[in-house]
Amino acid sequence: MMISNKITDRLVVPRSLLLSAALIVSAGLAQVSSAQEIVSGLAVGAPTQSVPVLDVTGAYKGQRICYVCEFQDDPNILAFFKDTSDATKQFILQLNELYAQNKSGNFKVVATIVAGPDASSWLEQLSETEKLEIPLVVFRRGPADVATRLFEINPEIHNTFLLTQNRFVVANVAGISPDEFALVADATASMLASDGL
Amino acid sequence: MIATRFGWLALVSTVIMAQCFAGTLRAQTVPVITADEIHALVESNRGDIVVVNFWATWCPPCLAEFPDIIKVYEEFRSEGLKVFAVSMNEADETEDIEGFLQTFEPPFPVYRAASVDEAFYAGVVSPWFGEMPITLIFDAAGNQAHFHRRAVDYAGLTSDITPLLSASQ
Repeated sequence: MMISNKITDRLVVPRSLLLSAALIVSAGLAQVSSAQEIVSGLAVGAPTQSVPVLDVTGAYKGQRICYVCEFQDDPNILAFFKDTSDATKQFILQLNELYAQNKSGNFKVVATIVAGPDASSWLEQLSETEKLEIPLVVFRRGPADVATRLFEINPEIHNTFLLTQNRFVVANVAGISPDEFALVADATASMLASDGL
Repeated sequence: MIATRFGWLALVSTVIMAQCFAGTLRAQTVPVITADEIHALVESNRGDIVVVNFWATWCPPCLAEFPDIIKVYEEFRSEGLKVFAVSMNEADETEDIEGFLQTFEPPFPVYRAASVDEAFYAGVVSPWFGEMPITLIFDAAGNQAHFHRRAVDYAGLTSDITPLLSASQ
């Protein structure tokens, strides 16, 4: 289990108001969790680039779409899962519940299977069976997709949760088990509490 | 019989070649542009207000803002507004770009970024991390007046551009 809220060296000098906002949020989150080494995903304070994924169950089903673009400045969770599994299913259900509890605001969630398009039928079935509200997507080219590099996803880690706001990462939770999902939920609560600062 | 078969073969080959050629022509209708060439474009249009919009076919807010950009251009082009749109789609997404152009029929030049990487972003403007949509607005002296890191709309663009146009008269 790894959770990180520390500011990396690359962002010692604030470069914009957006970055300043991200730093403020990050500082707030640092009070509720300890800083540890990042095992997968962008560091806190890093910007999120625009990159298309293949939408499997969302509003753009069947299309290449950039959810980072779609979410713009809204607080959100970009969740990445190595592949399909019982644990992945549990996480997706928990994410969907978290979204349902907070969707009255501008909170957004997208769940991504890094393994690629082979996971599509599994995701479609899961979404239909569980009546999921959050979009489920895949990396178009699997682990070799450019998105793996841009989001700094470690393909060996089973799950990576990037909480982002104003297009900057405000919390990174990775390599947890489903019964540790409270780490994601708590970080989300902190992010949403600071939304609009 | 053999002659007929060869006739069909020739016809099919001709059609396939024509389609390939047409595809090549379509691809060539969207010129590629480098970061340096974007700066040169702005420089060569000194005296006018220049808007450079970066978009991609897979970026929903980019698609949403594009009609407003066209509307603003149509309204202010006679007063000295220039607009250039740069697609950040990859080279293998040319057909998507063509579909986009057929849908929106922009009345201003459209390019495709020569590369989609950190070097291009940094070469265009700093700080740009690759997020989209991005819109840059330059005044008549060629100075960057506005840098929008999210979708723009008609009202926002108009309020940016109007004073710049007035100052340039």
